[in-house]
Amino acid sequence: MGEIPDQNRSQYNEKGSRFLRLFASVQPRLYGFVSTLVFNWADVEDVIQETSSVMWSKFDEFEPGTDFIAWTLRIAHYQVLAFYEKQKRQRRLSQQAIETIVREMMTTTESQDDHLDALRKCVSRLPEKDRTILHLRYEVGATAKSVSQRVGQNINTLYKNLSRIHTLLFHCMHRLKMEDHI
Amino acid sequence: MSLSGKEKKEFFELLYALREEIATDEQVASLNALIVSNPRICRLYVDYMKMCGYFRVYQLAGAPRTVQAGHLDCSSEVEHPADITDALFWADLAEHERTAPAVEIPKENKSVELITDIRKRKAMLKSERKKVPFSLWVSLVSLAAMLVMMAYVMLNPRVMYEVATVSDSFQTQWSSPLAPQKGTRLAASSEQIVLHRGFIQIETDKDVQLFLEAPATFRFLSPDEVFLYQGRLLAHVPESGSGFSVRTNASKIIDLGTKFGVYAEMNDDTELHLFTGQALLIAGTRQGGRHTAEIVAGRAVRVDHTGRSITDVPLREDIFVHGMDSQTGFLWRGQSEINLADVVGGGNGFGTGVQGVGINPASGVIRNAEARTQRHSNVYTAVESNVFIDGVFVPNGADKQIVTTARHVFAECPPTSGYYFMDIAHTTMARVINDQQPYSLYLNQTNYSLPENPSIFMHANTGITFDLSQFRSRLTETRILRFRSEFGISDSAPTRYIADFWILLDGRVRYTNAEPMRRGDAVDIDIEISDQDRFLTLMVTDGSVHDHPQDENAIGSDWGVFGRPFLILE
Repeated sequence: MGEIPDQNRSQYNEKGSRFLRLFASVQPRLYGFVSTLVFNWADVEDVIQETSSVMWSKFDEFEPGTDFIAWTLRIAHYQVLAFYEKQKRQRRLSQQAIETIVREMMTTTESQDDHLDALRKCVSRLPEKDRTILHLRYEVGATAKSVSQRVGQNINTLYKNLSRIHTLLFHCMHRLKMEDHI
Repeated sequence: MSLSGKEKKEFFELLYALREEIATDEQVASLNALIVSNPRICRLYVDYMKMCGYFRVYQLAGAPRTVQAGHLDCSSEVEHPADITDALFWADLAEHERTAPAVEIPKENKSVELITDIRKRKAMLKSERKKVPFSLWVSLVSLAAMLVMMAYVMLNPRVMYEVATVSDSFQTQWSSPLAPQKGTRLAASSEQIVLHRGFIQIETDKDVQLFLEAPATFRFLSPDEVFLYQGRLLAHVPESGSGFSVRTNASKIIDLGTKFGVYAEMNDDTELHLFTGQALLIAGTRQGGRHTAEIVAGRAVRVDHTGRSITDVPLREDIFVHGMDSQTGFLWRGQSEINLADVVGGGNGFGTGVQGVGINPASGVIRNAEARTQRHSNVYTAVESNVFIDGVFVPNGADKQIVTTARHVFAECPPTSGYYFMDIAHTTMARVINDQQPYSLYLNQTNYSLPENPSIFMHANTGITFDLSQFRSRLTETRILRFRSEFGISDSAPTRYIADFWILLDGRVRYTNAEPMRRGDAVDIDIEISDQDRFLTLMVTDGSVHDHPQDENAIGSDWGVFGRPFLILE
């Protein structure tokens, strides 16, 4: 049987720890990338799950010291394409649009921490009711229908409110970006 | 062209509609065109969607929230406040719109023919009934072909590739058409395999070892993934198999270099017990939502059937089979000790032996322990009927004493009378010549004739050798570290004669009593065993080398007892 010799066992566990640390450090960026190309959150989770599996299986090929984010996004890109292959009817973006978006994503440099910090600030500035709706919508397993029932709104009104809230957040983050050069 | 406030609002509404998957085809087509033709729109799109992704992570990481039950009064829609209009940004965008080449967005041709002539209308209806568009025919044919293919795959579920081999099975009974035996190749298939009773060991083509215990229902999805619908499974995943996954109805576990156990219950709850290494646990379903947790060695968790709740539970090795051997009935549940008294009783060290059963040191025959004074040569006799016992002998020191089938020699073997009285026995009672009454064996007031205090009774002059390699080959990912026991001459021995005892590893003395032992003397033994040591020999001699004549009386009352003789595992 392929038993791990004692002297390699600790190296193997160390490899797992190293992978998890690196993966955790790029997770927001990975979610950001996949979210630009896949819209249903369950599908986003599927693609991220497949990406993490492939990343682990190919982790020995990753050269330490090189760009882990770029490596991650390349793998995620292929997983998105594989997802589109499987779910042809669900693809909304054209092939050209996808290529344009991916080019834009790959060439953008950004600080994850600054983005998350800006997001945190902007969320805190939202009126409490808006914050509540937003968190309800992003809860694991939530759908627009389930949230509309919870908050007592018809679904069209909910969509309009969520759209408005996202726009508010977006502009707040854009303003902070201009101010802080994130 | 500059965008009006209304157009800006519509643009963001379009982005959100895309996010919620409610955008129309026309809307998406126009957005696709804009993304391709306008870098600023593309950047805007990317930043907006990225923001949603970041918020998702923010939420999953446990963002502070003020979620309240009940209805919220958010019915009034707030118009875009003036300050959200970033003048510079939109001016820049408008400038690009003015100078960029025009983009053709395909428009749908809508024309309606007003039919006023009823005859024309009837004719049209008749022709519509007859005419089947070519595209529809193609679709029907394709559908038929697809149905035929689906039927073929469903009726022939084994049209898949092979991914694993059954390496052992024990007391198995199957409730599925597929009833694998040792050597059966298993394929990635839609067909479930149902183990109704017993245990099975499977090795995947990537060297992953799986141990399943009935009742269990499972199937392979690929060489790297197994779906456990119900039952208990333990996985040993070497480096070559890393990334191996176990899926249940409520979760998916991805290995990162581990030994772990998965228990899928009938109510769809799942338990994950992580013994070594790390694993990624992905809990939940597509419908209910998923979240991921890293589980490290020493931790066990329970995922409820919805996948939303992950709670810590006690780590338990004993509910999983960690190693097995159908030939010897060897089932290792991660116990940390092997009971050598149980082995003497015909068992495998984990309770399958029979109390009172012994081995004749001259013939090697396993039987209910008998007592009769006999004399025998010191020839070493292999024990064929129990793989864990290498052999037995009656030491007499007359010539070189072989103590293993590998021909190790015990050079320091003292001269003895060459007589022995009783079989080497598992947790038994002693006998005395011309006395029908059996006597319990005691060391330090512990009754070693009771099942809860297992012992090996070794009346002088007897020796027994255990083959440690036979245990090692059946224990995965663990080592034999030590031999521990209490040894002495039973307190209940009728007279106070002396005896010596010996513990050897590969024929070399690792322990012996410093002074001749007498009735009531007892010592604690704790001997380290290295991975290179193969044979463990226990021996009791009659002490006649010290003072007694070397006749049959020399063995009188030499009631040697190894109390709780255990091999200690890592």
